[in-house]
Amino acid sequence: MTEPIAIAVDGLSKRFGDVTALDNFSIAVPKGSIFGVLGTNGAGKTTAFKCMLGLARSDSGTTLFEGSQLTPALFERMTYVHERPALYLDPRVSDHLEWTRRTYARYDAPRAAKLLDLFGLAPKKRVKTLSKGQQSALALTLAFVTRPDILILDEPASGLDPVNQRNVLDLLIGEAAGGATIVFSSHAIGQVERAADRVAILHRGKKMLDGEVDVLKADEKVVEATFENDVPSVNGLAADPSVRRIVRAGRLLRAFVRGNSDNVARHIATLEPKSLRVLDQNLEDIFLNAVAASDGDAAAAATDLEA
Amino acid sequence: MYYMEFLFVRKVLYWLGGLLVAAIAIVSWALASSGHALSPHPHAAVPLSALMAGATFVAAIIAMIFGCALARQNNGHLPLVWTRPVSRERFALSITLVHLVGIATAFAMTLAAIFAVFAIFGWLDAITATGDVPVNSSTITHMVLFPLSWYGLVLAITASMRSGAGFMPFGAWILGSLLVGLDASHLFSGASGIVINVLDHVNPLYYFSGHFDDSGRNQSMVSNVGTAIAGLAGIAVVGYAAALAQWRRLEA
Repeated sequence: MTEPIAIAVDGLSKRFGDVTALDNFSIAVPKGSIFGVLGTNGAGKTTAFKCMLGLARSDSGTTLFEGSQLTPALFERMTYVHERPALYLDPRVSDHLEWTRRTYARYDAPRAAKLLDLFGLAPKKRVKTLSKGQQSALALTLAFVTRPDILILDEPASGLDPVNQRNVLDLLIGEAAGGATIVFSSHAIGQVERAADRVAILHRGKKMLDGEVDVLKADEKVVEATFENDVPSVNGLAADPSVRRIVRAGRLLRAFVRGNSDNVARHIATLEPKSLRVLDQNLEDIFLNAVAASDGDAAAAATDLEA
Repeated sequence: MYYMEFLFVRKVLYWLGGLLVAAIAIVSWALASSGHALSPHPHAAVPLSALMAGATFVAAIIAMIFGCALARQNNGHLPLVWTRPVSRERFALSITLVHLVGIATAFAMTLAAIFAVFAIFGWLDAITATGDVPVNSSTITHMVLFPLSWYGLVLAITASMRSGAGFMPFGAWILGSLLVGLDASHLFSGASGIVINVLDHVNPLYYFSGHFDDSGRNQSMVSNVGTAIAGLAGIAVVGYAAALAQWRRLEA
């Protein structure tokens, strides 16, 4: 059975002068899923979110939330956390909560108290006296306190200490388990890998790939070999269409492969390595492959690929 | 929706209250020291309209501070403000209502402070609502519209700004004073004089200022209070509409 789509983004593009910040960006986020958006700095993640939410005007493309165009009323059930907390500096933590209480019918006071406790935020403190991490925590508190159905979070764990980063991931997973749909971006691939069940990789405004994390990982293998001495010449391996990248580091050879890795493993075995194994790629490998492919990175690949 | 703006307005009014208390103390001390306090002129008459005009000027300064409200939102808060379950127009209108209450309160506080000084020295009987400029509906409308026109003007000037808007009220007031001075002086003739006169028509001070004519009489810049009301109302309404039109099209 097909899962209902909570967020359908179709062909969003945004240019700033001569720079294409977002190029034909499309994703479909199933209801109740956690969708991670990965990308380097300037990849277009924030622009994508802003275009989705009408905070920036896209040059083309549409975004539908549960099949409908965005309206202000929808924000009663949806929340957005900007990469830099957009809080007012002079008011207190409690003032922000009061503002949220007055604005949202779904405000959950007991939850507010729990979140303040979780993040260690003092209600009487003025926002300007909070650290960057505490300000991020307050922004997240304001987001979660209305029990939204859809959360769009731009670098939600940025600036947080490891304990609160873990708390945020746990909150995301808990919300999704309760039926909420979450889209979040992060530089921290480990966070995305832990929380997201789907992922899209953006690079230079373009979506390089997207899909379920497990499927992507299952489809991407790394053939890893170690040699007694430096890695010998691996002529011909780069010509194999399944090979995305080859990395050589001293006695270690790694070939990143999409699809069936048997041929590549057999090829490397002929070089008589000391050890040879085929592993699932992790999300970091997949991300780096996608970025390298986008750059046509003969450089990263070419330094690594056998001449 | 307007809660954060309410906090800001309240803070500004607290400051104003403090300044007014300090002003009452200083003026009272100065008057008492000079000996004037104990010997008022037996036939002195102080027009209420003049006292109201003083309060209106203070309210106008407060209105100009409030007029930077959209620029304050632009300075990093739009992702928070524009993802609330209300439209941009409704948000802007809601904070404007708070500002209107704030401006009215500033007017009332200033007038009360002036009355307090008069009460301290027993001069309240000298205040009269009649005279050259009697207090009537036209006078009151004129005075109400003066701060509102500044509010609309500053809002329009700053609606697209992201930083530096705080200097605008000061700059606008200086420029307005300069314009009305140049216009009244008739130093410029021909095209430059026309340009100054046209610009002065979008200057709230123009509709609230006087100048001395050839016979030395103080004359209003505009022919009658009706014209002044129309001019101030026009600046307030057009300025507000222009501000909204700009702001709703911004990008966060």
